Amino acid sequence: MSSLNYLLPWEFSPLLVLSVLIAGGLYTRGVWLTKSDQRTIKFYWQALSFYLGLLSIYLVSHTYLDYLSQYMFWVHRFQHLVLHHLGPLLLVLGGIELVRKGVPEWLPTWSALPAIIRLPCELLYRLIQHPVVAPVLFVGLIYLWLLPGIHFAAMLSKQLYLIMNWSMLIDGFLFWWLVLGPEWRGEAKGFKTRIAMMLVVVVPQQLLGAYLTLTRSVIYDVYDVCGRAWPISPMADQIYGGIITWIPASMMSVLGLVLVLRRRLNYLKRKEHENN
Amino acid sequence: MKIIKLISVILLALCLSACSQNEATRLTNIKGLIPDLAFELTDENNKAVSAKDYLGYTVAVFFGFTSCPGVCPTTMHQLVGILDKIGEPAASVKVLFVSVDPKRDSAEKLKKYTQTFGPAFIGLRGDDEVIKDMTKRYRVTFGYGDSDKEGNYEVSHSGAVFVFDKNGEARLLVTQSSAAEDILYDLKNLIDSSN
Repeated sequence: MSSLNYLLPWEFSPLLVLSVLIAGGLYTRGVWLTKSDQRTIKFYWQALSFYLGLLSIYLVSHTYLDYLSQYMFWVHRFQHLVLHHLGPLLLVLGGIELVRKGVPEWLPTWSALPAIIRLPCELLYRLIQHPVVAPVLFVGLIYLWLLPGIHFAAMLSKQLYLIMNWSMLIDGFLFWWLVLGPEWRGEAKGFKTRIAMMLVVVVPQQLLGAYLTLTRSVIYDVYDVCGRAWPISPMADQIYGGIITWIPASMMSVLGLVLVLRRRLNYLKRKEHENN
Repeated sequence: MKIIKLISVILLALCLSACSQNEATRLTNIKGLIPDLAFELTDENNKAVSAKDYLGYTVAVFFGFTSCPGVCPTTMHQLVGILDKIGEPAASVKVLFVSVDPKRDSAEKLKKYTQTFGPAFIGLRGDDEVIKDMTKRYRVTFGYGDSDKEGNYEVSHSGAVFVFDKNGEARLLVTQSSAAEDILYDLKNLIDSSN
């Protein structure tokens, strides 16, 4: 297989290609429209973070990695690490709000939409982004797709597999947007909630990771049913997958905690500076 | 938009999990989850065959290789036992053994292999690409390990048997952990219902 083949999609998804192109295009336009005197070092770091996030999501969903994710438990865990944690976090840190700036003016704005569409969406958004609901959903989705019966069906059915990955990506994005989006700049209001949210999501992920790593029997037989991408013992596959869920995934949440603290400290420093 | 997508995916997931339980089977019911039987391969007599040739039969498809030390012979022997128990109606069952190691599995080798199990068992092979397309269709895969000094290598492959009804529709999934009595029960019901 030539190296180019590794970059080809295993299953072509127009929805993904379109989403990545639109998000990337609008962001780039937003960057373009930003006046050059507003562009600082931080701005370029942000742009780098955004493009890396978008690229990582594309790579795990639309290349050979997607194939491996369907036939290797540990690669699947890695894919979800990117879709649910790393990719969306990089997008949010990359200032994805610039996308809004890049939206062409001739498109109707959100507030111009009829209330019948707008209100239910806003209500649902408020529900999902409730500080109690959001962490439950964040951890709940990880657990849901790893329930052996559901995991089996998701790996066997193409549609369900796509639903699984999209739900992880969207939920990951909404969660990181809530915690580290531009709405909170480090004020006292919302600080404790954010710290609590991050702490709440760490422990269940560690428990799950430890359970997967330390269980002495094969939990997910779907990989024996469908075959693995290369010969590897099912236990080794499960242990690697467990470790990925246990350590990097929960570390990402710890990183989130650090970022929340950092934003708060920077805010306090700025305030102090202003007062002097 | 993101929210609408989220609701629709959750609803869809609920619907899908509901449809997969529409018929009482002891094995996993894969009706609607897995596409219909379709392939164009060469059989163990070097004759070109397609899924259409097996319409009218209850077809069990297994992806294996003849030098397989464990899973393949165990599964084939289990099927032999079950077909024996079903008795006469089992004449309408064909077991298609699709080789995922066509490099080593020649038509002759396949024929010799399936003969040990009985006339219902047919070996099929095809080019690497054709087999890859077929396994992809059924959401299974295979891979090769490194060769040793004698040129032998390990093959990772699916341990499942996909059962299709007489119209070529996917119906049952037999896995390594399926109990023999459950396979017997469901297969018998499937044969009976399509008669």
